[in-house]
Amino acid sequence: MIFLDKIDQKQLNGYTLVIPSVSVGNVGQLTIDLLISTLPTKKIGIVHHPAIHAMVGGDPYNPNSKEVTTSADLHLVEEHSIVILQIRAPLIKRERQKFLEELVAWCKNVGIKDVVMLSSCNAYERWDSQISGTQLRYYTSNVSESCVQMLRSVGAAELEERTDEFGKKQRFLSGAGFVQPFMDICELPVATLIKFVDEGDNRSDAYALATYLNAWRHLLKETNPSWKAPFSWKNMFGGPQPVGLC
Amino acid sequence: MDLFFGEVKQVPSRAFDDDEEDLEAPHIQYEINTVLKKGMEDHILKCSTVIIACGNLATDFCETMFWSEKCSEAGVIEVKQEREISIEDTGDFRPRQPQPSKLFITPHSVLVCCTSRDVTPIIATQFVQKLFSVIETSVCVMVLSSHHYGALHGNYAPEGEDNCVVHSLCSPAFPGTPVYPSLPQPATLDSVPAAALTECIVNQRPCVAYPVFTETYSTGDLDLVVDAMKKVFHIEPFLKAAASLQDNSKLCQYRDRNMREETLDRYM
Repeated sequence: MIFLDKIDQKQLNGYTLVIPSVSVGNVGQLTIDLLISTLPTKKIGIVHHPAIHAMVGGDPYNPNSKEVTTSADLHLVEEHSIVILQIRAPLIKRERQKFLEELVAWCKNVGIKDVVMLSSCNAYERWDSQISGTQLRYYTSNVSESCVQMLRSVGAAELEERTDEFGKKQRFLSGAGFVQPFMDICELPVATLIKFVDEGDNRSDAYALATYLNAWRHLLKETNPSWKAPFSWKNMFGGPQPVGLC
Repeated sequence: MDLFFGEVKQVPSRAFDDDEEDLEAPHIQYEINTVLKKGMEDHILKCSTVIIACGNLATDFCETMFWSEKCSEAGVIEVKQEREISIEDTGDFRPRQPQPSKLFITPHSVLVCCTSRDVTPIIATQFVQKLFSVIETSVCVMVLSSHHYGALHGNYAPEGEDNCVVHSLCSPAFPGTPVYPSLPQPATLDSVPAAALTECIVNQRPCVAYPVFTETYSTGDLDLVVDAMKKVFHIEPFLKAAASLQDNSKLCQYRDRNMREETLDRYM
């Protein structure tokens, strides 16, 4: 499933895995794009699984590169002991659980210390009390109290629980993708950072989520860092107009 | 916003919860099998190159230009659908079975796979894995695919004598330089071409993909692409396959069998 190139997987022992959930507005994935473009990252491998729709194209971060980019890959940030997984295609639902189980098994096998998941929830599903105030949330499992305090201190709130029609209290993760299925099976500490968003131009949501992550994990020295957008964002809404129409 | 390398896709959202409507057809299980003709396994293992054709014009090109009496039918890759029939299923009681993808070997030991249109993106990876399981790991792979020019998401400008636009993507192990320039952003490939290229990258196989973009793709439009598609065989290791492409009478026979619609011609 995960094919590492020029790196021994033992080197990832003690690292943090940062992954996006394929969620509303693709905010997690856009945030990962910002992290890969801004931090000193090195591509170390490809993730290939029948659960991820196959997709290939040019390098989204370097227009001069001839390297083919696939639908999911791994990037290393040695300075912060972080390995970043980017997923560029939707997951095939019937294969999703298998993919998550294999991912969790891989994390355990290589010695990943903890997981940070980046996701988003549908803003239209917010309660009245969620409409105002911070739109950032965290949802954790097996995470230390000091870590939770830190998340709270940078301006986010814990994702609220809701009571469903059966009277069961659970986190309502509308549009958040595979956050809950992943957290259900992963025994490692997992902290999911979430933003309430609407579908549209979600770049600003990605910047907000990246800044939130940075405030918590201090990936960059600045409190309000300038995130570098990848080259691929230039064609966010398609390529330039045909020359013949000018 | 839906984003693949900057491309916007017209779907409401990438995310779905268990309660939300699934983009995939529910209750369908797929089974993919390679069914080879007796004695063909060894012949397939001796093939030095594999051509995977996807899309109407690409498969028409391969079936027209490569197939002859001297070719050997190697078998098929079949896709079986098992659909759970529920009480709510008031639709098709005799659902159409997917067409198999044909495999044949040319006299120059080139294995050609004409991918059926029933191989959907959901099963593309498994389909390609089944195909690659019967060939040698050192075999060079070419993926020839045809697309509407809208998939380019950019300027559609055929160059020179070509009546179509051709680009390329190749795996690091591909030994030569592709004939056509790299696929520019924000265009991407998906389904079988992407699955084949990804498999080759992961398994360090030499592979080159040539997506061909045209304004139309009706039956009879093979003339739009045939010259451009022939060009991609002019470099190693595909030169041997090019020998099969010299017979232009095959093209005449194709035109006789596939008359272009007069109405279509009026608007061309």
